[in-house]
This record gives sequence, structure tokens and C-alpha cells, in this order.
Amino acid sequence: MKNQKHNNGTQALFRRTWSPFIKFSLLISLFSALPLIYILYQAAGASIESWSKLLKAKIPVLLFNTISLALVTAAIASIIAFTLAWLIIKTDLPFKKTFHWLAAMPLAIPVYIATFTYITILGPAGAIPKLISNILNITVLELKFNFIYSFMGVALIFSFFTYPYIYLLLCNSLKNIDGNLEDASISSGLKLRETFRKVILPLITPSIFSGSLLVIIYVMADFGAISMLRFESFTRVIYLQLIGRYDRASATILSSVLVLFIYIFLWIENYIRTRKTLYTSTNTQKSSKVYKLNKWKIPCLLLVLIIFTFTLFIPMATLIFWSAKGVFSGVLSINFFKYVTDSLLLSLITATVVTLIALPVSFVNTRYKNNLYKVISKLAYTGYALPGIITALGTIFIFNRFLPGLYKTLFCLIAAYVIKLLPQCLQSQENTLLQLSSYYEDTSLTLGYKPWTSLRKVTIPLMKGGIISGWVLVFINVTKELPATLLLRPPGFDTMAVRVWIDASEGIYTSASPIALLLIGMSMLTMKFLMKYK
Amino acid sequence: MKLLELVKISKSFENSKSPIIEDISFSLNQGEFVTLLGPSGCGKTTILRIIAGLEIPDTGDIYLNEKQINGKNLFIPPYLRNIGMVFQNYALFPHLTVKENILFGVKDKTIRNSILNEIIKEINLKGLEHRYPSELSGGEQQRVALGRALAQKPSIILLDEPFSSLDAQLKHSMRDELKEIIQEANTTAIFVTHDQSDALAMSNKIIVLDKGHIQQIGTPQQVYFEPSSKFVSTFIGEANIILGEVIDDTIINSDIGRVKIKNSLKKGETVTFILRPSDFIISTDTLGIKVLVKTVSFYGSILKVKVCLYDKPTLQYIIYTDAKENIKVNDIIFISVKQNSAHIL
Repeated sequence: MKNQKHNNGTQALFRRTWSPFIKFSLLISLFSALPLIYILYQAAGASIESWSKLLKAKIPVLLFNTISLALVTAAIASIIAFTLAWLIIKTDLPFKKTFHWLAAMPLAIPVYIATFTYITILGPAGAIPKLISNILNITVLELKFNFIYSFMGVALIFSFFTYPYIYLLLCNSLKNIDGNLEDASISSGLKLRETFRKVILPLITPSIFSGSLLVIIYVMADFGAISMLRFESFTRVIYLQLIGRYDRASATILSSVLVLFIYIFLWIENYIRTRKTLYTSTNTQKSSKVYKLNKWKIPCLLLVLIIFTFTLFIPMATLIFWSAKGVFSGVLSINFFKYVTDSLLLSLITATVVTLIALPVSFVNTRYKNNLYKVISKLAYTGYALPGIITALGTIFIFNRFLPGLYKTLFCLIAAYVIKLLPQCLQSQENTLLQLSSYYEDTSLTLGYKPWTSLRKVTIPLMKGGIISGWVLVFINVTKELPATLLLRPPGFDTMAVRVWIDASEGIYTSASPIALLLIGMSMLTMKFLMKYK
Repeated sequence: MKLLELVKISKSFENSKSPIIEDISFSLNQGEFVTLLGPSGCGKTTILRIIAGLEIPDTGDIYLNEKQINGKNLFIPPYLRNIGMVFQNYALFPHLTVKENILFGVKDKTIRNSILNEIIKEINLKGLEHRYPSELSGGEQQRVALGRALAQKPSIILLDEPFSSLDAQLKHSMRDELKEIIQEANTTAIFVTHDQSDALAMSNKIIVLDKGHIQQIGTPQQVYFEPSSKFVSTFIGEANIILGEVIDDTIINSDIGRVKIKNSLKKGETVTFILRPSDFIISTDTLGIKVLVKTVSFYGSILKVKVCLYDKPTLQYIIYTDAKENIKVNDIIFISVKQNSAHIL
């Protein structure tokens, strides 16, 4: 509905009616930005020696490592994503629906879990090196099979489990190509190859770039997998500074540099996404053309299955193998169920808290058109691209400085989750609210209901879908979250993610795998639910 | 007794320099059907929303039933005004049935059934009470929206562009129906539109707005035949605007010849007057002014002919004539003006 035009004029009334909500939203926005502000402030206050020492030695190496890994990963992921998207959307490959589903599935596998499964297979003491050394009749130490820890090994693992970010966007733009354009190109005498280069490629490039940037940001912010693979990147070094040397000045400086680069990539992503208006979308649009594979059908089918072997079969089969082994050896003790229930309870509480906080904020964000408010409200999105390790670092500082009594309590942990996950919840709620005309609320007001009652009777029931999907998103992400939980959890309190990571790092795969499977199962259900809801 | 009175209402939006409406004053009586008519962006919807209490004006007073509802430091919120509003696209609650939509604002449980029966009869939707809005046609949706507003027994009902999402065919039948329902409910209505034919057909008072200012208030006949300005004359219907010189008391000389008018004017004065396209007579003999036919469009009941002066082709006029007339492009015809039809601006 075209209600935007008049929204502009209702601001005086909105401010009058909802001033407690507006104040609350401003407070939440500022709170969300607090950790980052504090880190930047600390970094700015660090001594010149610490800065120059880091700038000379550490930072250039870390920047090179982190960014080159991110770029190579994005390149490999783009190739995987393009192969799958093209075959599944634009050709007559069989089992398309199932394949589409399987192609998106790696998103449900946390990379740190996938990583440990690959370590058990390809690591220096993994299954394959053992097999080879047996054949060659030498020890695994002599074999020195270190591929998994090499640059390419790390990049491959990351690309196997992050390519869906590109795949999903790419599918969308491939589906949206107007078949008329392809027909026009072919009827003007261009071959399929030329049509692809001149018509299709320009239309899908923005989504490849956009998705690649998401992958880049993901790799730069990741902590769990990077640490397991002992790759010298920012997040790992920051973690070591905090845990090992307890050098806060260095940690804040490194964090600031990392955040700067992540925000640069985020800005580019935003620029590409808001600029790509190349799509023609008219009523006369014809559906995107589907090409026949003919004799290539079997080779293409094989190619897809090979990809799925690496992205799904290997990690899942490994997890099932270790889980079975673990269950028979009796890992499913009382203890096991305790941190599963603890973990789920924490997710439940956090998801509910974040949803309730997000409600007034998303309402004001979508209905209030004040310029100053708009600028400040952007701060609520600070946590969106902030690596978990940096959110944790900021939270540690804030609590130590202002609320030392609450440091390392559940309250402190949930506060960090709010900062990290509020953006996702807000996005989900705001998307539904934006589609809801404010006329519904106006109607309720003219029918004699007070603003609060109107909100309860009209707005909230109508945005139910957005509220539920936001809640589910937060729930699953709390369950999967690693770095912030690792640093901020109360002593003796473990979540499933933390347990998987610690057990896997210590090589106790039999106890890590059952939890990992449970986590993945939950993620898959969530994805199915969210994909259906949309 | 005046039912509603607006006194010098002005409002600017936060992000723009010029006011969206300025010094709007008008009043209406019980039972009137008033139209706010103007091009998009003229501020008509803002006025409606200010009356409903969905927006706060910068300055000005509003009285409802002689009680002030808006003024300096005074603002009665919408939920206490008892003014019904039907929104553009109707804003029917998609999660509620027809019945639940209609009874949405009826809080007194004891009267719900009688109100529902009464409204369903008025809007003629018997049998559809349990449908959801998505299962209704555009016209039915509009009637439900109207019924929902009427169920409150509002002192005034406001309608914002009620026909904007209906196709032309449906719009004509809904126009009559809407008028009947509102008359039957014995309610006063203000109705916003940018479509002059809706305004002329439906209301007994028209308020013409442009750029946030009232241009004219009058009956449909007054605004059509005696427009107060060039803007009003061209916005409502088609009009030929012509310059002339008074050569005698009641006679003006112009490019289309001598035109006789009702009231007398000062000799020698230059005046602008308008002629509606139906104010002309076409003849094939040489009586009248010689013109060349540029385009001919057939409209069913009339023929619309665009002509230019034979001697001065830059001067063009629009003329309606009998649909059966046989006129073709590039014909040379002669036109004259009906007596007393010119309206001086």
C-alpha cells in the first residue's frame, strides 16, 4: 500500500504517543554500540609504542593472511555456488528440488564442526594419512601430511561451508532473468555462449559480488574454525592475547583494525546491493529459460554429487560414525543431557529477551521518520558484522568497568547476545512491519482504541510471522554461537557449541559428535522452517 | 448548527520548506456530503487526517458539534473523536472476518448482534459475514470498510480516495451505492478525491484545493459553471480560456468573435473568460468564425473536436458536439458561441 507519502506528516503525533518507545529504542541503539565504542576508545588511548610495534610487525602479516584467505575462499565458493546454481536453476538436471535443498544445507553446519570432521580425516593423524602411512609402511609423523593446515586446506574448508551465501543470492537472480531477454539475444543471432556473456552474466554479477562479500566478512569474523586450523588470523590472535598474554592494549588495537576492514567490505556490499537495479521486473516478464543438458546430464549429475560429497556427505558421515562409536562407549551420561538442556534453556531465554527488546525498536524504526532518530537507530545494527570475539571483548570491558559484580554471569552473557543478535531479530520484524500499512493502526485509532490497544489488537497479530522467525533465528544462533560464549560464560556453564569446540579441540570426537549432530539437526529444522515461512 | 468547523488550519512537514496546507477554513452542516477536490499533493488527505486526529496541525482550531477538538495546546486524540474513516485501499484487517472487521470497534457486547444485522443490511453483504477480506471483491471490500466505520455511529465519516483501487466500470456503480448507503445511515461525509467526475457526481458541496490553499467552495454547479480561477476552470472539466476586450456594456470582442455576456463591464477593459466545450454551436454555412478541424474523438454520447483558427493556427479550442455529426480531420467549419455562456474570470 502506498502509505509512505503520508507517514511523513504523522511524526508530531507519533512522537507524542510513543515517546517512551522512542526513548527505549534510542537507549538500546546506544547500548548496542557501546562495546565497539569502548574498544575504539581504548585503542585510541593505547600507547604509541604498542601501536607502532603492532603496525610494524603483526598487523601487515595478519592483514595479508586474513584478507588473502577471505578472497581465495570467496573465489572458490563462487565457483561452487555458480556450478550448482546454474545446473539446478537453468538446466533440466533431475531431482532439482532435492538438490536445491541439499545445496543450501551446508549453512546449517557450523564451520567449526565441519572443520573437526575434516581434521579427523585429513589431519596429520587422520584416517587418510594413517591409511597412506600403513601402505608405505612408515609412521604418520614421518609422512608429515599437513594439507588441512595449509592455506589452501583452510580456504577449501571455508568455501565448502560458506558457498550457500552466494548460492542463494545467485539462484534468486538466475530465476529472475526475464526469458524474453534470452529469447531476444538468441533471435538476434547470438550463440548460447555469447548470450551468457552479454546478457546473463551482467545480470548475475551483482549477486555473485554481494554473496562473495558476505563470505569475505564471514571468514574475517570467524573464530572457531580458524582456531582449530591454527591459522594466524586476527580473531585467533586477539583470542590468544586475551587468554594467554592478557594483553588488552594489543587486543583492542587489533580489534579496531579488523573492524575497520570488515566495515569497509560491508560498505562495499551495501553499495552493490542498493545499486543493483539492473533487473527488469514487469508484468510481461517471461520465466527464465531452462536449457537442455542432453548428453551432459550424467557428467553434470556426477559433478553435483561430488560437490555434495565434500560439503555434506563427508562431515555428516564422519559425525555419524563418531557418534555411534561414542554412544556405544557410553558418552550419553547425565552430564551430556545437562548441557544440552542448559544450552537450550539459555537459547530460549535469550531468544525471548531479544524478541521483546526488538519489538518496540522495530516498531519505532519503521514508523518514525525523524532524521536524527534514523541516524542513531542505525547503531542498533552495530553487532551485525561485529565478530563474536570482538563483541565479547567489548562486553568484558564494559562489565569490568561499570558492572564488575555481574561479569561472567548469565546476565553478562545474554547482554552480549543481545548486541550480537538483535540486528537479525530486528531485520525479521522490520521486514514484516514494512509490508504492513500504518493505516491498520490508524483505523484502529479512529475506531476508538488507544494506541497501546491498537498495537496489541492489530499490529502484533499482523506481524506474528516476523516475530516468530526472528525468535527462531536468535534461538538457533545462540545455540551455535561460539566465541562470545567461550569468553563470557559463567564458570562451569557450557553450551552445546562450547562443548563441541572444547571436546573436538582436545580430540575427544566421540563426545563432540553427538552434540554436533544435534546442533546440525536443529539448524536444519530451523532452515526448513524459515525457508517455508518466506 | 455547524457540525464541523475548521478555522485557519496550517501544517508543514518536517522535511519541507513550504507548508502542505495553509489557512484552511471551512465548515459543514449535518447531512452534507462534501468533497475535497484537488490534484495529488494539494494537501487534501492531510486535511482529512487532521480532522480524524491522525495528524496534528501546526496552527488553527477545529470544532466538532461546537466543542473544540483541536487548538492551541488542545488535542483530542483520534480514539476520543468518534469520527469514522475509510482509508485508501480500505485497510481491512486481513486476519479478521467480515463480521469481526465490522464489529472491531463495537465494545458494548450487548448491542453487537443488532449492530451487525443493521450494518450488514445497510451495506448489503448478507451471507458473507464469515469470509476473510482476501475472499471479497474490490467493491465488497469497500462496503465492509464503510460498514466498519458506520458501526461506530460516527458523527462524521471521512473517505480517502475510496475509488482509487476500483476499475472504471465498478467505480460508477459504487459511486451510487456509496451515496445511498451514506444517505441511508443519515451521516455527514467528507470525501477526498482527485477525480473531478467523482466530485461532481457525489457531493452537494465541493472544496477545490491547490497547493495547500482553498481555491473555491461551492455547489457542483457553481464550481463547474462559475469557476473562481483559471485553475478551477481547467481542473474541473475542460475549458477554453480566452482573452477579450469589452467593446460595449455586455459585449466582448475576441479571437472567436463577439461574445455577449450577462453582466455589464467597463468599456475598453481587457478580460479573461472561459467557454466550456459545450458552449459552441457548429454550422457549415459561413455564419461564425472559420476554423480548421485538427482532431476528432468519438466519446459515445458526444464528439470531441479540437479546432484551430483558420487565420491564427496557434489558437486552439475544444468543442463538444452531437455524436452523430459528420466532421472529419482537416474539414473547415464555422463556429459561434451560445448566448450568455461566457464566464468572466
